[in-house]
Amino acid sequence: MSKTALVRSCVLPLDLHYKIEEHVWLRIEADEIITLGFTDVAQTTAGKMLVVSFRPIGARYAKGKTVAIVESGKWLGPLRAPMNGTLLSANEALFEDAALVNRSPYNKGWVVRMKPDDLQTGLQDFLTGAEAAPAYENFMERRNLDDCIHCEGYEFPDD
Amino acid sequence: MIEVRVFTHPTCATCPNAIQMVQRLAAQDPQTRIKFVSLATVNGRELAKAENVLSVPTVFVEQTRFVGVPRWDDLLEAVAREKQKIQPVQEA
Repeated sequence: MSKTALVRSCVLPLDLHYKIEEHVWLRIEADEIITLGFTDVAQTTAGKMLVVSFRPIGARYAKGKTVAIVESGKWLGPLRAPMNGTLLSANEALFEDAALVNRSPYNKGWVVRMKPDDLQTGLQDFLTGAEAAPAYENFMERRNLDDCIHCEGYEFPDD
Repeated sequence: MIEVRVFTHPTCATCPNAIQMVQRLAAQDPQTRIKFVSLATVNGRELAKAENVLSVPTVFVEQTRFVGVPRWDDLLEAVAREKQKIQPVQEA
C-alpha cells in the first residue's frame, strides 16, 4: 500500500498532518517534538525558494506567531507556530540551499522543529494525511491551483 | 516512425538539456518524430496525468520512460530497440 496520496500530481505523505490553508505539514517525532515544513503544493505555487530566515531559536512562540519566513521570486511566506511552544531548531541547510524546500519538501527541506506545550490540543487544527487528500483536492479546485510540478532531482518520499 | 515524447515545464532548469538532446536525435534520425508536452498547459497536464508523469523532464521513446535527462547512449539504444520491433520479419 502506498505511503503517499497524490492530489493533482501533488505528493502528500499519509503519515503527516496538514494545515492546508497554510500549506504546512507537521510530523510528530519522539518526545512529542514536531517538525514543520511546507507542502508540495506550496513549493509548486511559490516557485524556486531563494531565502529562508528564522526567528530566534530557544524562544517561546504563541500560536500564530511567525517562526520562519520563506521567500521565493514571487512569494513571501511566513511559517507560523501552529501551537504554543518553544522553537527548538531550524534547518540550517536552508541557509545554503533554500531550494531544498522545492526538491525535498518532506525530508531534507524541513523548516523548523518545536516542542509544543500541548500537542494533542494543537493537532485539532490539523488534518491527517488521509483527510488531507480530499480536502486539498477541494482547496485546489476552489483556488484554481495548478497541478504540482516536480523538476529533476525532486525527492519523492517513497524513494 | 518512432515517437519520442518530452514532458517539460518552463520552470524546470534541466528541461532545455532534454529538449536539445531530442532535437539532436531528430536531426540525425529521420525515423523519429518528436512531440513536446508542456505541463504549463491544461492539455499538457492531462497528458502527463494519463502517462503518470510526476516530474520533468520525462522523455518517452514510445513506451520506454526516462525520468530526468537521459544519457545520449541510452536514448539511442531505446530508439534502436524500437526500430527492431518495427522492422518487417525476414522470410527464411
